[in-house]
Amino acid sequence: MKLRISHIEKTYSTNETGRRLRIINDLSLEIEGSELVCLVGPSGCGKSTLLRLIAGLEQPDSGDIQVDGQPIDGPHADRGMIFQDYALFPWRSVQKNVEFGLEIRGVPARDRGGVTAKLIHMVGLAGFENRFPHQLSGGMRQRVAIARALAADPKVILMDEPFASLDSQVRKQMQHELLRILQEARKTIVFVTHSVEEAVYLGDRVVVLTGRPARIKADYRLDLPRPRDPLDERFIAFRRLVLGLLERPDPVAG
Amino acid sequence: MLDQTPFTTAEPAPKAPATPTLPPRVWPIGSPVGALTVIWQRASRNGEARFIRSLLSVIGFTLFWQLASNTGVFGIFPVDAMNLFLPSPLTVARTFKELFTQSQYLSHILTSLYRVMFGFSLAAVIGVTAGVLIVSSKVAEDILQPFIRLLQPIPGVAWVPLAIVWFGLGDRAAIFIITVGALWPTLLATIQGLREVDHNLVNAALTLGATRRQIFEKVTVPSIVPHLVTGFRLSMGFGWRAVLAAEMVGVSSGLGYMLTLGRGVGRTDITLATMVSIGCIMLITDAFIFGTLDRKTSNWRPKREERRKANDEIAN
Repeated sequence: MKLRISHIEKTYSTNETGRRLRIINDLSLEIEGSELVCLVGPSGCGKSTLLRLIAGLEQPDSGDIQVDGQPIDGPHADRGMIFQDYALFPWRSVQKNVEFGLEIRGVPARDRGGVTAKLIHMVGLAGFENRFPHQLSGGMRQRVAIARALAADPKVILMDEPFASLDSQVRKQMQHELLRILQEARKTIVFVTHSVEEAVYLGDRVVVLTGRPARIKADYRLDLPRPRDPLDERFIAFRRLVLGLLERPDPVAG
Repeated sequence: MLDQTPFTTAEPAPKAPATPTLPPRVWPIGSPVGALTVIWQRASRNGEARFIRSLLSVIGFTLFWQLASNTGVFGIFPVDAMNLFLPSPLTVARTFKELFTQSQYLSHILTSLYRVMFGFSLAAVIGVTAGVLIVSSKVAEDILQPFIRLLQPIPGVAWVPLAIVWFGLGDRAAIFIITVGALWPTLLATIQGLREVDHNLVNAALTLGATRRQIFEKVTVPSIVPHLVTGFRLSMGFGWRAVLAAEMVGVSSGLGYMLTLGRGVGRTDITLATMVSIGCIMLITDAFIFGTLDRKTSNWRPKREERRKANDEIAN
């Protein structure tokens, strides 16, 4: 898997004045192999927009994004996405939600059970197959969303602040679970978060973005051993480094 | 700010023990009143008390009605006139028995039912189609909007004279009036439902590989079902009101006709029995059919608070 983002720009027009607001400015990034890449940046810097561009839900004004050499045009099952508010289909049971990608692809109903059973087990929801989303807690819903994304067998999974609406304990648990799930299902993950600690805990790579318009400020590879200890000296040192980058004012963008 | 460190991860506060909220016992348990109080409290806890209360209310009302009818509303009117002014519940019950043995009563019911179902189905098809058109095309919206604005406030009854001129006194006039009367709730519910389809669900389906057509079938349609249930429910009610009006004014068959017939021949008991029949039929369709559908699909709507919460957090 190779994701290549080259020189993309994105502007939005603001409604009242018709002025163009520049969200992303000449951003390039390459992601290769099954690694977990965390994008951190100040609030409203355009990191979610970047994710939506990779997903194909929006188009860049210029520049292009390629997956394995193929320029993307629009959303596709090879780029799965996980949303902060879970975005589960409320009329479908856990089982049916996870099956969605297979159903879309035309896999006959009798052949879907094997894949989904394995994934539902992997995310720790065995026994909850026939529940509906409103009967589950936030953490459980996000597990369903992860299983649903994995079932479509994407090349890369884009996660947009997936644990931001969970309380801190559930959030810790979900971070841990995500790493465990990824050990089984080797996938490329692009993980957007505004939490430096989350990025340092999860990431094989941590990419720091500038304030709007977003550009890449720093790109680190983390070789801290796992499981990572947030009290470990190197962990703290690295957190401090990234926090320092975020707090330092950005050079004025051209 | 940024994030909690492990140090600040607080234990959740222990929940306060649930305190039972029983009303204080005023009467000693040994006394009959005390015993009744205990029974009542048990019933309250099981939710039966509310049902019992409603049942007692209906029984009480029926007894009061019977008494009022037998005494000429407590001596205000001559008792002889009561058969015309206020037939007693017993008389109405007897009339029901009499009506059930006549095929005419059933045929009037079936006539009205047929008209409502026919008109309602037409209204549903037209309402949903027009709603889809309006939401999917700005041109269609601009063309149809003025007529919707203008016609929607006109109650179905107001179409009766015109319908009779156009279609004569019969099924077709009744069905026309029902259709026009029942159209609006379905139309407006369709428009609102389509406009409220959760964009996140559409995006999720897109990133799972769904085509436009699949999104329509698997996201849009189920999303608007709860809205349609509400719309159909209201449309059905509007349809009944319209058919009764039509049948009372000119179309000489159906339950509305029976209402005026009872008055015309001095048989107020028939009018009352018909009113009870109408109430029962509407209650059955509303509570049992639409009520059940509503409960089944109520969780299909996105929770408003949840969406707001998510939006707040994105904004922060």
